[in-house]
Amino acid sequence: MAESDHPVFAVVGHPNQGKSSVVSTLVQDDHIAVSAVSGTTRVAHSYRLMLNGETLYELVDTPGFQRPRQILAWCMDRSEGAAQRPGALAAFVAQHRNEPRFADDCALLEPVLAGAGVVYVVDASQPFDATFEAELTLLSWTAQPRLALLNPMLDTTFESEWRAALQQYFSLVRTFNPLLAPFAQHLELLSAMAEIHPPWRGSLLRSVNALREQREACHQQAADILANYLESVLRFSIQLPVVGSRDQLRATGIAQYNRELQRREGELQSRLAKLYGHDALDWNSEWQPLRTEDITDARHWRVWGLSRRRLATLSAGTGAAAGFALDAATGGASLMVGALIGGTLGGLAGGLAGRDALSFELISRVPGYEEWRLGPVSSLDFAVALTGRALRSWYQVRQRNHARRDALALRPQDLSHWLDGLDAKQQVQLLFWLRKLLKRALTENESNQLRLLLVALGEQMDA
Amino acid sequence: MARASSERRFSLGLRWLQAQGDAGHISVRDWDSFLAAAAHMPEPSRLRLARLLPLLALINGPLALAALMLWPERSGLHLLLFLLVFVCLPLLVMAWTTFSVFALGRGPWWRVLVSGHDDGVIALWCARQALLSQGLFCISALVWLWLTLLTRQLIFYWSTSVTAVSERVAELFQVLSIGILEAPSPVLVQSAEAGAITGWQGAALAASPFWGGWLTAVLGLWVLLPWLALLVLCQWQLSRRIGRWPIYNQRLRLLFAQAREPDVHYRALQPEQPMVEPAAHDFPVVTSLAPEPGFRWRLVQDNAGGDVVLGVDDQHSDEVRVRTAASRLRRWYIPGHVVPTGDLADLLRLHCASGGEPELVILLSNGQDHVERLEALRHSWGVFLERNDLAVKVRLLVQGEPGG
Repeated sequence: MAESDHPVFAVVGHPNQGKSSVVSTLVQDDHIAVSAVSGTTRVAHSYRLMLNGETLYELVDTPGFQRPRQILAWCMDRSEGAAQRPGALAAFVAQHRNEPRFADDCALLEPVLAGAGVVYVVDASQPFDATFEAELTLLSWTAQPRLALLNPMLDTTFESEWRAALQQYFSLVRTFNPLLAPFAQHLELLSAMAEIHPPWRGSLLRSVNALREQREACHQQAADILANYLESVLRFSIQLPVVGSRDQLRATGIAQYNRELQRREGELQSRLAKLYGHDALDWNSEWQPLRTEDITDARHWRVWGLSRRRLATLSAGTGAAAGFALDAATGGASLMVGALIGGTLGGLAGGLAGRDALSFELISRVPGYEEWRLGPVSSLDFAVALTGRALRSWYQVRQRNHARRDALALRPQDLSHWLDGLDAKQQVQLLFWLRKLLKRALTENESNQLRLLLVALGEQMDA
Repeated sequence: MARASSERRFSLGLRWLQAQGDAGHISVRDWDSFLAAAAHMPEPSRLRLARLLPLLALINGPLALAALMLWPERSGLHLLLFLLVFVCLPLLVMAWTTFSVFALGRGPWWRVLVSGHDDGVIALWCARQALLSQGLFCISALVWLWLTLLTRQLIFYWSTSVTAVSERVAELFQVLSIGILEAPSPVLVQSAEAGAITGWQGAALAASPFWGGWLTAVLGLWVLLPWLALLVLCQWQLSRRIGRWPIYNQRLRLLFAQAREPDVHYRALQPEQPMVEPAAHDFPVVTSLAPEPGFRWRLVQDNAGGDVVLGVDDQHSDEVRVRTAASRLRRWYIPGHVVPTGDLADLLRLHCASGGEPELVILLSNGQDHVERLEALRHSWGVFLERNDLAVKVRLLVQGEPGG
């Protein structure tokens, strides 16, 4: 079979070692069948990385070895020296291609014999034993560029044992957890693949650059979506014609307001998920109750925002900064009174903010045509909480690898003022923009600045 | 495919901006294709009205000129007023429009009437439209002036009783002429003879074409030439900015990003393999078994007397061992972490063919007995037996030791 003009890598190994998980994560596709049940993959599947119509490299997901010892015995019987081994292996595949017993093994060996590089995946939480020797010997007989991946599916108990064994057969041995490895590690793995065969280096490094740029563009777009979302929810209001008492009216309005907020949040989550290529993401387990609760109820939303003390401190900081600007404008003649007053007022505003999440006011007093308006958001605390939820959704889709099939979970630390952990300067900037959004819609230029801040916050999520 | 004009592309961009919903339903390769996809959307009615603005200016020019011919006196065209209305004011307005759009990024005040969105492209389009209107206002007035000169008697005048003012005006004319043009010599009419029916009107009428020519040249030099330069600049910038509109407008950026086919993407060469939920297998889980020797698949440690270890040597040796012990041994002890493969299936089949009745005991060590793990093991072993057409009894032994 003729070699391809682009690098091809076959992901091979024993059954149930996480081969499909590795492929799913690398090709960012959550449709690839991944399961804890062994032998899920029955035929080879190829995935090409395309850049403007050009193939940069190809990854082949293969079924696991089934009868490596029998294949090895067959080949040994028919080869007298090292030079004849690849030929013997090719002869085996040619002869047994249509035999159901060897279907999986042939599907695995075919791309390798056609010139693909080998990415051998093993579960580093299981012990190494002699059965794997046959697989490793067969792969070494293919004489193709090879790389081994240690996949710690449960733990890394046998990693050193595996590493010692694999280093005898592979020039490069890496640890890669397809479920948890951050995106930077995906690129590192591709870079490592570029090192095992110099002719493929250029194409693979171009892949790394293209994927990095694509990821950056993805983050930028996500920040745009978030800025747009924040503007839409923080400025959202509904008008309520007077029916019944004020309290009844408020209760009806809040229910309506909640539904709309939840709808918008759901829309945000699905847009972000789609952007990062998560088509089959399950938001319906731990996020579901959050969608049905009263978002405007402080008992529910306070956990998403900043702690009251932190909010007061940061607000004092933003107020003092504004006051300091006034002091500077007077050439210091104000004796820093501006900063003092600004800081005090900011701190008080931050500390006392959030008694009522939404504004509720009568906007038309014409008899018979009285109308109330619920919203927009009036409390900085609530605005921070809504932002916290939105950023949390972003974090989850951004960090999640495509090999994962479990539902999105919210860990306790997700709910305990996680915004507190962000860089203080960014917190102050975030509060500055949220305050602005509470007052008015942002101009195009301001939206861009908010987007840049969100991109920086996203980078902190990755750190 | 030829690229549409800037005007058309601007209209298509505004259609996207006024469209409801997102652009996830379309897939485009580039910005021009994205704009072209809006062709079926209705054009914003406010844009159609804004396009009529230069037409209005075209009408306003002759109207303004006619007004000047009637005011302040119905006796001709006041030169200074003409210069004020058609040279000074247009120049100032054009300068401000250009400065505010390029330096401050702001469009004319009526930009809000065209679109609720405020970005660098919409502002520039409005500024260009304002410039176009301003220029057409002057040109139409000039055309009207010459039509009047050709068909009616029209004199150009200005009046003063102060000599110094007269000198200042003469200097102004020199300034406006900037050494290139030649201002006609004025026909001086004394106040005493203004009411007389002497021949001064004839002399003034005879000078009218020269004044008309000078005014045209002044207008051309001071207004129309800069106007043309600014218009070309605006048009060029507009064309460039429309090509990068998403940079200036967040909504367009989002819509375009949604619709755009990614430059980099993975393409599956084969259709995805559907996830098939394996049939449920209810292999029993036991916590103890009576000790009994058996085949030990990939289980070297803790061998009791009579056990036969398999899976650590070559397949042929294992086959010999199975044939030898097939009638003596029944159980196959297999560690829980071991994934069943075809090699094992062949040995089990050989055991059956040699007259044995194999029974699989899957040994689970501590930590492997949680519900999800047990389910996965049951499924894995079930699938293994089905695919290899084996009818073998399977038990899962928790604690990991036979007989334990």
